[in-house]
Amino acid sequence: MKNHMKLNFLGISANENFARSVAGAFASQLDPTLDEISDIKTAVSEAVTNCIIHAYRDKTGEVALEMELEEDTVRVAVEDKGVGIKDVEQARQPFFTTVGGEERSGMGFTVMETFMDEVKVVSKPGYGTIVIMYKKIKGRVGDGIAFARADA
Amino acid sequence: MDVMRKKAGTPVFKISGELDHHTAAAVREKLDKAILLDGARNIVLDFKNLRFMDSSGIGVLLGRYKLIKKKGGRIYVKNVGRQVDKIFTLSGLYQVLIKMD
Repeated sequence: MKNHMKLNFLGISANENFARSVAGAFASQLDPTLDEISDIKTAVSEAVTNCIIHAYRDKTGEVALEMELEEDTVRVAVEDKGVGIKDVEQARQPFFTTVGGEERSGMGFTVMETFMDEVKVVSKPGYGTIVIMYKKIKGRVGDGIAFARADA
Repeated sequence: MDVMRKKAGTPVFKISGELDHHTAAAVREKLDKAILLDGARNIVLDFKNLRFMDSSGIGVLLGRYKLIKKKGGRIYVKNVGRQVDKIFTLSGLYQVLIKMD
């Protein structure tokens, strides 16, 4: 299966739920398990939240969500035209955050890395950031829950 | 997102819906109000009806832990799903939260 989609939306927090729901629905074409869908939704939620909190900290901007399905692999790209990240390595460290007082944990990239197979971050200060994530879908073969849901 | 309290014994607050950056402030406010109103030292957070949580939940949980800790209490968690369990584990939250199931 080969498929592709691109979605542009306003970087406001109400769209975090929208973006991850779309990502989960699109990825479901590869017959993932419910856990695999949750993994993708969680990673997309983290990437989009980063755009809203960090990239567009003083303004509201556009976020692009692009997905590709090829054979058994999902590729997700989340892109903003925000402030960019000066030190990507530092930003990816667990518990690193530039936002204080808002109970932000600094675990966004760590969660993306945990739930996806591969996470690439390309950023240029003043121009924006693109986060590209890959996940291989092992699928629902032998997954009773997913079969029951499909039959319902 | 609702925080519902069950009667008798250690108060159980049921957290439902989706906990992300968008809902975090409301969840935090409701939980703090419930914790202060209840006055109990220990609380149980029941995640059975939680449909989604990302790393925004870590900050919410850690903040509530600090509040409860001031009273010398503990936070117990129950019905933690696979996704939330992974997030609690990788963030080290299980060092301060007590898992019931």
